[in-house]
Amino acid sequence: MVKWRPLALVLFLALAVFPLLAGLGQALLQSLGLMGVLKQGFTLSHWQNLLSEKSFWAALGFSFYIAFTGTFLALVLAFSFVLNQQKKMGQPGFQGFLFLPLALPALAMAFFSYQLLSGTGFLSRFLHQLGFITEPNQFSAGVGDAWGVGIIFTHVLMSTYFFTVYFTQIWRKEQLSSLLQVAENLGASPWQARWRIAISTLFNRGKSIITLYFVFALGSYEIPLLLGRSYPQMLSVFTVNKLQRFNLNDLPQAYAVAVFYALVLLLSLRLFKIKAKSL
Amino acid sequence: MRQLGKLSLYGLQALLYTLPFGVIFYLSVTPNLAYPHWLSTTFTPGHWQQLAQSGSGLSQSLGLSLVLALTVGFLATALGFACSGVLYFSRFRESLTRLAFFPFILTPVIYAVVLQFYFLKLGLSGSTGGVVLAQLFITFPFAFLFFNGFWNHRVKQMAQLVQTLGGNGRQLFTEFLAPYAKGALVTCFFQTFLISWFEYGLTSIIGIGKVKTLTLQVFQYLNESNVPLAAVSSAVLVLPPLILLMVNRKFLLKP
Repeated sequence: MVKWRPLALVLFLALAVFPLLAGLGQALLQSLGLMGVLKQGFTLSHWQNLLSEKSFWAALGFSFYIAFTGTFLALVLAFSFVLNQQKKMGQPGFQGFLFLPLALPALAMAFFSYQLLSGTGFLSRFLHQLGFITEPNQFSAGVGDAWGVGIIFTHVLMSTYFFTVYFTQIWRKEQLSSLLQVAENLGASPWQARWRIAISTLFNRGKSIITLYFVFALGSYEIPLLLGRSYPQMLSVFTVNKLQRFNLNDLPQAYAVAVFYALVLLLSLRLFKIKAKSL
Repeated sequence: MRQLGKLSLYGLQALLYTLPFGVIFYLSVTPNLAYPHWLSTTFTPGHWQQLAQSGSGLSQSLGLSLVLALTVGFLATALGFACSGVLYFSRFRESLTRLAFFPFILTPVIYAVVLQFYFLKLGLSGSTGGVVLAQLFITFPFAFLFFNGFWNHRVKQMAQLVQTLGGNGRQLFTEFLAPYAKGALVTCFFQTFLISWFEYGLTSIIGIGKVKTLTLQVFQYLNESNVPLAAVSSAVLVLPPLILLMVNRKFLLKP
């Protein structure tokens, strides 16, 4: 195997390291005016323009708000599902049922939310049948709304399924049912046993995956593209829009956002000490 | 009262778990309904028949997505397995693992934004080959990390034993490594297949809309307000993972 090592190393660098470094490198150089069609010598003007743009900060804030709210609500739901289904967890049929929604890609889930929550969606039609509204525009739609209700709803749906399956596995591995029983025998109230043992164990063991999911939600693209609005946008949609606009001056700014996002990601990974083995 | 709470929790869960499938399938067999109608009395398999028509956009996208995902899944698994096996016992292992982590978790669409420049320069933008290469940039690191969990000193000693007993490189792979790693290879292939199958952002930017996979087709049908065909595309997207789920659950879970 040793004789193949140089070849494997070259292949690894060519597919995993070089594209990333070359991509981020050229993005940084373009954002500093040192490369590309707008090459004008070293300048910080693209970064200054970007950082003074209200829509950039709105996109950043909106992305964090969506990722945080979506992950938090999904955690609450997943905890309540897992805590209330300890007896059912061992049943093979129920386990298959738990895995079912993992087969749904983000795009299919966004499509479902769109059909449910848009002005002419199922909910609006249902309310019309009940006589609550008479026109589609009377329905306060969850698609393209300022609070990103549709985006959060879709993220909650997706991550609740994922967290429920993940926590169910931790529950079994850590034998939490037995630990809860012991705690209650020693005088803890059911609430104390659940809060201090079950939830804290699930949270601590799942911290890395929760942070990773937060990062995925932060950079999600298809869901806000279908369910979001033009202001505020999520960071990934904001970046692609800058890249694909006809105004060439927006190009270096798109690259600046990409570099900024990569730095935020790197910082989050270091801050929360997320390692590859948490995958 | 507590029983009622539990029952409503089960009800909510059952609804959340099955409703998306129900709605997608329902929309794929009903015509476009005018507002405010919400329940159709007519059902038609006509939209699904487009899958069987050889010139239709839907059948072409299905074929393209299949070829793309199978190619990416096969290449990423083979290269990831070989590279991780050879490099696992090198002194750079820790650093390489850290390096492989970043491209995998960087949002594909942002990765595509910074890569697009090179793909345009090399004339790979808008080509299926370009999209395969771009998807390999995210699936290869995934496969590399995946197989990190497979290699250990026991496997190394067994491999050395095969070689000591006179086995050549081909025999080492066909007689020992392939049968021993069969489960991991199959799981990694399906997971990388699914990453490619579900991919939208990177494919749309590197493919500049010319490489019309099923995910791009969903957006196109939605832009055309063709809900039934968007639903058929979404339902087809869901089929492979559903089949894998029926065969074995672990294909859908990460290592």
